[in-house]
Amino acid sequence: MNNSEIPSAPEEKWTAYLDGKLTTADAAAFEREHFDAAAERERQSKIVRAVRTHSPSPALRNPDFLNERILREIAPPPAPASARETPLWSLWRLVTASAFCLLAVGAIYALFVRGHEQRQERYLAQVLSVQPGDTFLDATVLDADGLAVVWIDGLDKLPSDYALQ
Amino acid sequence: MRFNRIAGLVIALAALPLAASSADDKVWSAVVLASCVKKGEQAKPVPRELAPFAPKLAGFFSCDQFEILGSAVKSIDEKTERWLVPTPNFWVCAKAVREGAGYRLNLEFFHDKRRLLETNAKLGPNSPLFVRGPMHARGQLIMVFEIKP
Repeated sequence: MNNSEIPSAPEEKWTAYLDGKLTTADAAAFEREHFDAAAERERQSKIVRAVRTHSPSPALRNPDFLNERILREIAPPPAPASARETPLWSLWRLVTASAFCLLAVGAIYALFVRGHEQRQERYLAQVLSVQPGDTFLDATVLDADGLAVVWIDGLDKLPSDYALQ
Repeated sequence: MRFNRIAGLVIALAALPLAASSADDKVWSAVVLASCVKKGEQAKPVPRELAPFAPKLAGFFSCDQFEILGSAVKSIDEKTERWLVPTPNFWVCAKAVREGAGYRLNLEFFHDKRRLLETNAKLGPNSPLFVRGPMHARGQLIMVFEIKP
């Protein structure tokens, strides 16, 4: 109710007067109409003061808990999660990414580590068959301390004036 | 969808070096002169290509000096034979088929239009095959054939 509005019913006007919500002019006019209004308001004020004096509000033992309960009750409900929204790394993606990482590590190992070792350390030369070029020649496979050597017999010695290059 | 594209790219990048390694293999052939250092002379340095095998070759051929007279290299093509001419007098015909970690080869060695030898061999990378050729007044001629990655 606005203070500038004048209550229409007598009871409402009485209530506004007792609550001190009438303007000074309206309150003076109301007291002129009702000679016992001032006494009645004084009596009500005494009663209110007496009640407040002798009946203080009870002390709360855990006011924070109540505040929290109240805030929780008046808080808006959480918005439902969207069905299209998915976590950043689902289990499937995690497994797939792990498999790709293992594949990459294996490829790097095979290419740079194992391949390098094979190229540098392992000597692989196996002669399966030899056939001399003509009947005047003979060919034999020999093992030169782990190296494969094909020894051709029957070749003529080249003269000193034979150009090698 | 974007994750699958990235995964495919990763696989392609990982497989690229593997495919390139076999495609870049080459055949290399050289004619080597093995000789003994004369008294008062200093041995020539061992060629880099023969350095890992020089000690064993020196013991086997009873020499202490190696000199590459000429060499030739070509990329491997499994569909066609490759002719390598390390020197004007010696050449090699090679047919290579990939087998496991190396190659199965059919090799024919020639000297001045005379076929000296035909051989089938399995060679791995950096594992040369040595063929004893004719003797020369300066020393022993050795033909070398190797797969180079």
